[in-house]
Amino acid sequence: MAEALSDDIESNSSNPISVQVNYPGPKHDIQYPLNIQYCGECSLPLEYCEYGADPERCREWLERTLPDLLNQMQASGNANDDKSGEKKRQTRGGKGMPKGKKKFEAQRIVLNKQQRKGNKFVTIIQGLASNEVDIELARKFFAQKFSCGCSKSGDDELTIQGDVVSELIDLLPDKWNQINPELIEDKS
Amino acid sequence: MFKKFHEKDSVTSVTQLRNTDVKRLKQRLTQDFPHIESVLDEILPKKDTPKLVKCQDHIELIADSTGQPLFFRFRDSQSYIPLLRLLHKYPFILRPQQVDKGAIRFVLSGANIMCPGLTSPGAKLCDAPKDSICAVMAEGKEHALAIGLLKMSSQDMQQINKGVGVETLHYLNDGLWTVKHGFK
Repeated sequence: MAEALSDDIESNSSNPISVQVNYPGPKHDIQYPLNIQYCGECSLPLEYCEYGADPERCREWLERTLPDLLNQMQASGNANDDKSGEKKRQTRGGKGMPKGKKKFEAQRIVLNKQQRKGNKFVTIIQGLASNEVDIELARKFFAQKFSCGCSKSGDDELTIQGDVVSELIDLLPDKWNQINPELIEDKS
Repeated sequence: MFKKFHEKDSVTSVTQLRNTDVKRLKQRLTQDFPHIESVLDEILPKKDTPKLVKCQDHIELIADSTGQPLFFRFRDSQSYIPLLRLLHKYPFILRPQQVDKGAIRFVLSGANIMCPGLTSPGAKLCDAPKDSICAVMAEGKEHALAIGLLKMSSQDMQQINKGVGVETLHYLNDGLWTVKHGFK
């Protein structure tokens, strides 16, 4: 379906509105399988990016990775003049609106200390994943570094045995450059 | 159907498909989708043993030897349905039914397609019997939006114009589309 669907109006069709279309087989001049370019952000074919969660990010990805395609699309997009066409079509509301993927809103990293039995504490780190840190990697790293147990206690939460809050404040920006030291919140 | 499908959680088992089953699969595919015959050897090469992936809710997937899913089947239905990724590569496999632009958003969140969406201006219908599988195309777009099952023949859709026309089975960005690593 590289070109628009071919029209084949039935002569005895009582309803002239919808057009009957053929069920054609493979086109002889086209090499199959077709190589489709999918967007790196929304994973949809490029023409569907506007229905994805964040079309702006999709555009940026396209600008970075395939600037030639973007120019091509812009050139043909100007010819189509979508906006006037949109007003003529049926507009529907309600559940059809695109939902963004749940972005972790808490960009800050929260350090907390909890008391376990006796004179023992655990440190809880929240918000690592939202700062693009691999949780599994972080877990292994902390366990090795502090020679203690470390576990994933929730979607974005790590629990380290022992009280390592002060070490973490220095360690986190050191090990992971993307972490801004000001984002770390010490609630202990 | 694949709204809540997860690559890791929804799968119960992955087994090699037996030769007799592979033959039956190919036979069934050529029967249901006549145009697939020319490319069947590319999709399911002879030396490559496909895998049978059993999933929750009575869903079975047929994946190639690398684990990428190609077809799916639900309940005890005899027919196998191609995945959107496969359909994009070989668009001629399924009959196209085009919906108008306003319906795209709804289909992308898994909604079924009502008859008016297929009979309005901007929509195009292909002659198809009831219970056949079709590719849901979108007005102004080149690639398939979803794969659906016709609940009424296209003649009925035009005449009655009420109720569900096409049941959306698999759509862009659903659980099955977002499978990245394949099934090992």
